[in-house]
Amino acid sequence: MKSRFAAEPDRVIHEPARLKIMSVLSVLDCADFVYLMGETGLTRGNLSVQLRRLEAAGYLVVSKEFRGRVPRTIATMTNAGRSAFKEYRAYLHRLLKATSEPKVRSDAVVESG
Amino acid sequence: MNEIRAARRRAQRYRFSDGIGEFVTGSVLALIGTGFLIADFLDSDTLRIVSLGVAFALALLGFLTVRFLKERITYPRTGYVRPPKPQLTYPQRFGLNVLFLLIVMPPIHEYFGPALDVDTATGRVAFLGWVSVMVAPIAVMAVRFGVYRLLFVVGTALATGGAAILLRIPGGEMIGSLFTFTGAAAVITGTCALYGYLRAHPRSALDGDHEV
Repeated sequence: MKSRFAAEPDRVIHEPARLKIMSVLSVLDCADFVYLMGETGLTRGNLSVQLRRLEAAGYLVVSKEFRGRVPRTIATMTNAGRSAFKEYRAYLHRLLKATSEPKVRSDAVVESG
Repeated sequence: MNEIRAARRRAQRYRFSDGIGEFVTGSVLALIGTGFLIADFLDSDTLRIVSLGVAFALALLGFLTVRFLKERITYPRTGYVRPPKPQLTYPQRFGLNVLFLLIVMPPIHEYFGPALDVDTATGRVAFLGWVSVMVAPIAVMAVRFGVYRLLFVVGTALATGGAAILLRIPGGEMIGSLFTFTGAAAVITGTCALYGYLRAHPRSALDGDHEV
């Protein structure tokens, strides 16, 4: 019999820091490093590492540009990233649905004796 | 899901967080309004055409100024973000174009064509109706994105329109004073928002990004 939990979540997205980044970028066209730092609450170092991982997986495109002397790093989610995130969300939905607690009637009265 | 929805809403609201857009747009609107008032006061057709040309140039300059200021003030402090463009259907696009024409045509007609007779009930209703159409998109944005200070701009525009009718100010002056007061209100709210933003985000906190 096939287990209900046989499917594995996408390990790249499953990590909390990367999940935050993917969640933010999934509703945007693109965002820069400073904005992502503010939204996710990650440190520079951590955000930098996680962006690289997501880029290596092909989920993000990270481009760099200079505005005057200030460097700006812009992250954009790729189509592969969007579909992977969509699948991940569907997986979570399935999982939560399968493990949802049975509804308890609020008007249930426990009779004693 | 709520977190994701909130992230989208925050990104949409983000462009209003610094008040730069309001400040610059308000300044441009106030300048255009003042130009219209001067041209009307001097009753010069040449000056009317010149002021309309200057208005278009100022609108373009205002757009570039907002970009310039955001590059130097906002993005180094709190970053750059581009929310997804709304996917509009054909009827929605058509509706927006009609709304744009409704907003743009009356002042041009009022300015160059026969003056609106504000002594008649039809004239008053037409003018107040136009003011309402002009500020309706701002009111919708204010409520949708939770930028409630923009309602002050909307209120000022409606109050100026109402006062112009009550005082029976002639057409050209009416448009000029409406633009001037509405622009001034936007400058006030923009300045307050910018002041609050600069206090909340000192430059040293997030000074550009580094190596990724």
